[in-house]
Amino acid sequence: MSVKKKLSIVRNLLMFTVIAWFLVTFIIVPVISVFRTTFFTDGTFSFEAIEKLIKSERVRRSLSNTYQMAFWSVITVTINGIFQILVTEYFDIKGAKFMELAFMVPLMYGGISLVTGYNYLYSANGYITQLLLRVFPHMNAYWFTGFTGVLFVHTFAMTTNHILFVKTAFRDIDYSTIEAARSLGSSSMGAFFKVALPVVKPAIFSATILLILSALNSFAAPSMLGGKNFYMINSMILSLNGLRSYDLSALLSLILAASCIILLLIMNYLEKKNTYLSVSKVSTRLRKTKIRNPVVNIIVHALAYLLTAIYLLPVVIIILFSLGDVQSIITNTFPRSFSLDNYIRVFSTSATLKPFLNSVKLSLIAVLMVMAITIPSTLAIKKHPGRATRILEMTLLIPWILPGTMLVVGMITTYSEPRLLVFQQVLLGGFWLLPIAYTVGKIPSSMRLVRASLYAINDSHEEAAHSLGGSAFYTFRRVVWPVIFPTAISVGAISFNGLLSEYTVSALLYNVNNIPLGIVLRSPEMSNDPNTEANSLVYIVVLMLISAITLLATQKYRNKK
Amino acid sequence: MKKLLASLLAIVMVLGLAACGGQDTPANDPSADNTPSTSQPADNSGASGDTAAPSTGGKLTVYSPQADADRGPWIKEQAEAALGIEIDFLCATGGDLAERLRAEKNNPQADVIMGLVQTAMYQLKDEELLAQYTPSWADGLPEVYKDPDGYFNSFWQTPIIIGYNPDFVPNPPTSWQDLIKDEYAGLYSIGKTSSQTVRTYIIGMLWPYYDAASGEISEEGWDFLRTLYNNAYSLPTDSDSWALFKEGTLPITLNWFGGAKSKAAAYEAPINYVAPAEGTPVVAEGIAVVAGSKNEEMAQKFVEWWGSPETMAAYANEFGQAPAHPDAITMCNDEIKADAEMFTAQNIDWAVCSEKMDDWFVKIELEIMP
Amino acid sequence: MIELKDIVIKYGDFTAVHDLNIQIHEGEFFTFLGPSGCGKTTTLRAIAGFEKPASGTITAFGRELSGLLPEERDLGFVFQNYALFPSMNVYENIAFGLRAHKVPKKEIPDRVQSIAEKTGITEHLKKKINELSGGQQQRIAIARALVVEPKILLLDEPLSNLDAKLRVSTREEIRRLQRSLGITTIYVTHDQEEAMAISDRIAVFNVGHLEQIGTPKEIYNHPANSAVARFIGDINCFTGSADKMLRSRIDCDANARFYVRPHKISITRTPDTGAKTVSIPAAIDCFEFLGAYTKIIARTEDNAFITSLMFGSETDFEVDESVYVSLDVGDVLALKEV
Repeated sequence: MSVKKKLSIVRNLLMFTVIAWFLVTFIIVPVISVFRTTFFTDGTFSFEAIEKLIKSERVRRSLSNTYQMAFWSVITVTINGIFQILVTEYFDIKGAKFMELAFMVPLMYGGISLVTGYNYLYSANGYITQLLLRVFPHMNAYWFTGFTGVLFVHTFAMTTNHILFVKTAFRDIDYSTIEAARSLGSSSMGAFFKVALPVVKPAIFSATILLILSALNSFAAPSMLGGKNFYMINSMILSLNGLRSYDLSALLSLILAASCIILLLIMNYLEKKNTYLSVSKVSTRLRKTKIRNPVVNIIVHALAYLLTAIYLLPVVIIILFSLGDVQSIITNTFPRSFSLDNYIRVFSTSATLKPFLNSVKLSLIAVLMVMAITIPSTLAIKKHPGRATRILEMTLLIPWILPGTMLVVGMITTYSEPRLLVFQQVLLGGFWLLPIAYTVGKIPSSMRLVRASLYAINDSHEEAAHSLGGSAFYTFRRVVWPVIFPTAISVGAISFNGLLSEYTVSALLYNVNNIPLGIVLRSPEMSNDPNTEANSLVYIVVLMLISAITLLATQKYRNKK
Repeated sequence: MKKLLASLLAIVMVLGLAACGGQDTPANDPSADNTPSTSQPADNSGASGDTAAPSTGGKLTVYSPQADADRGPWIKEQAEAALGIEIDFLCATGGDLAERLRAEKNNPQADVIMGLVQTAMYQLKDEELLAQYTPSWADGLPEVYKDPDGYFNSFWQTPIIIGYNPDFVPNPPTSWQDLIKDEYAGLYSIGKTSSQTVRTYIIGMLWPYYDAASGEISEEGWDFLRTLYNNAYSLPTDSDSWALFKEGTLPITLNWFGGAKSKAAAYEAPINYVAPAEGTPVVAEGIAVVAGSKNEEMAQKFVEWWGSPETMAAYANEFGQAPAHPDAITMCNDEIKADAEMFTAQNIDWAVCSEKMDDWFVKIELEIMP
Repeated sequence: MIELKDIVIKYGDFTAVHDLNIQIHEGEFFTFLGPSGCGKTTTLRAIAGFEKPASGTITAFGRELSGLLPEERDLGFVFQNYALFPSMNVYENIAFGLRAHKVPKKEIPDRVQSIAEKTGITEHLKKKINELSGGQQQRIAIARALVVEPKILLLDEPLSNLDAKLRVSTREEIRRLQRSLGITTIYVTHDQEEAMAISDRIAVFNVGHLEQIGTPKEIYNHPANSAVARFIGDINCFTGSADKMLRSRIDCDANARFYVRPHKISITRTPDTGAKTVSIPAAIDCFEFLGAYTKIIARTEDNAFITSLMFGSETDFEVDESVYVSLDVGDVLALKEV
């Protein structure tokens, strides 16, 4: 055996030992630990935690709230999503390009930032609510509280991801099928619902699965808008965890995980039962149709513009307020003067700039680690199908089914003391556990996308490079990397944006040295410093800016796909 | 255009990397100051800190949430002038510092821990992280601010209060127990149990129902709390609450004194305070020598100096915070004096509470809250 | 010299190549021929190092290859789909191997230029891969494989994606290039005509087994068994009464069958009664006019079809006319059935 070959074997062995170590340490062991803390108190098997939870009316309510919210979110998001597709892709609506951009706005800011923006408009004191109260004095000023508020946020924030899936499928529709339907006497609306929609049904289906998962795991909206009477499982998990009641929070996480798994299985079954294969070889590109009926046309236009306003107004308000004076910001009155003072304050003191830099740093580390794990793993999975790689693949997908809180609870219980697996370090309270948890959370979605792009690589390209004398690394750099780079960068950008204001995982794991933005964004409600709220707005605007920049900078890579 | 964007992106990333490379100074986050409301006790241990300097010569390492950009330099300067000691501060939220002490148990980096609330100090004491030391100023200190075993003493205090908007509450409650009366239903809200302030007033309200014999809260107490929660206003976010306070929808606030005072001022809302007959729970921040300190003698000297009425009065006058020591209060300016004398501290056995509170709050989360 | 010794290649439980032994001489143009799924490409990929034999050894010019990575084997591989790197232009594609081999930077342009001239692609060097036609891509793939001056050139069905005319002209070019460079070449194809036209020697594969090795003439004229005979060129197989008739005249193994190439068969109106000939009664079924010659298909009494080739385009036979299929006993191949 040549030295080079031996070296390459050693290198692969080393790399996969590190990856395997990472996965065992930060996915498998924490999951096992969750089970252990739940059912084994003091070393003996017990159902104590279950009994405690079953007795609690509040837990039952939170479960029922969570499932109901997931159900209704699916309904409203699907309606919103289909409407968006109708107005941006199918009908000829004036300003459709602009609308499409507006509908993508939630990609730039999510979670806490988004809810903060919505609050300025829709809370009891918000501008829109106040305006509506003048027109309808008897309406409930607190409509944006509890179930309706959370559903409202879900409806508009979660549609964006949903629609990204469906839109791609929709654009692949063979337009001639719609023409055929029209020539057979169907109206354009009829053709949309009877011909176009059924074709994209599988895409809607898989988007719905993801939607339900995120609705079940929703945190920011219910915890900020839910109030006394509306709470979801994730908030309970976080509160119980804050009270060091790890057995209860772990059990709740397990319940959440079980719900997700059952749901996935059902969906999988249903999906298998009705899949469509595209029959058409030559497809005609979709052309937009005008709405003939003038009344319908006006109504659809009006609704589309209203929807656009719903998406854009919070952003406009946040930007305006971030430029306003501190007093206007805290009293929620329209700013009397505009200046860059808030920005200057945030960026001139290290104390306020720090959380921002922390988040950039943590997210960047996490994104790089995600790539370092998913790329070699997916390569291996593709190249060497077998039991080992199948296990690898399943492990990488675990965080997708289990709620983030559960894994983190597992990490906390495992690494609050020195462990041999992590070289007798106490990870909890240190810097690294947080970026690691970020990484774990982003692995499954990244892997799915990277894998999809890898399958686009022709095996023979790699072989060609090898036979031309390219070493494994050289081949990867020159041949494989250029193909997966666009996906990697685009997946990386989206993950990076999402992590910048991450809250749920951060709340459980941050420490002195890495307080991330998500935590600070939540602090105005707890702090007495009047500047904090103004600082938050600045953070949100800068977040949106960074997200917009990353999205634009990686746009060309996304379009290629 | 795209090139420009790409380079902007690169700059952002470099910034991020620069942040990675930089010396990690503790975050002086505004939310990380000494308010009793900010800590998120999410984790229960921490990795060893590499930021604390080794304690050698005339140097003393002090962990304190008070040592932020505002107050840290002042304390440092005064200590150096008075004692000739150079102070190294590590500043973070109380919860984080407690985690740090736990993680460093076998290799203590700190000499003095200063500024954690009673419950946290009792937990540290139970975990044998504090060293016994009784400074001379402990003499005149009210019992409620002292650890009976002499492990720590409190130097600063803030009452947790019921504040109300006089324009909308003509008959204010006269005690915490009055809050469950029908006339106040929907006029106050209760924050999240993760907040130290919320925990403190809930403990205060439950304490009268504590049965020392069984070591538990009586059923009556839980019923009280259940009614309190059921009557509470359903509030989505706390940021709206002060606007609502001002316009009368939510004219009663349960808060810590300093916070309520400054928020009301910021919102230009009138506020009066209830002085409950049974007293009001007072959050007091303690100071102690860390067990295993390598500079124990110097640490004791620092504690002695810091808690002395003279130092506390000077500190109070500078930063407007009420000291715990009665002698110190007499040396303060009138405003602080007035504030400090407005309330009497409720007599609560914090040692018992710190041991029981996790269980109590789990019960509240699962069974009491609506 | 390349030697494959006792090579076995498996995919799980499925054995793709059984006990293969081949020796290829230096400078030879050697072809692996066989229908798809016969193991020829698998064998080629094993030589290149992309498949790992379950057992057996491969040596090339005295070097044992099995311990070496693909990039260490010093051979050029041309893929069926060319596998040109879409992210690089033509020049970059060709220079790839030189860079990977750490050829000094100064030499690279000259070597790329020189191979481009030899393969006739000089004017395409600056182009992107997707701007090229199939034939151009094919040449670039060959140039890319040859520029590193490998000791062995491996070609995996390199012409299968080209149209018929281009296939013929390109194969001639490949042959010329191979001769001028004197490089040992292994060529995989399923097209027997291509194999015959281009090869010094051919190895015929069938379902994972090597059936025969030989020069094109040997294989055509003396196929080792019926599989080879059927695969190489057109051939008639005699069954039923014709089989019996031949068996009485030819001494052979009981399970052998009789085959005759179409051009060795003549169609006559009267039976040929020569000592060495056999005439089988039949009827004309149809004609296929193929330009320089005409294919006559006759139907025997038990409905077997026999093909014969006749030069020219004029025949005076008519469809359904009763005729005799005549052949020389010496031209009959008695082959073992596999």
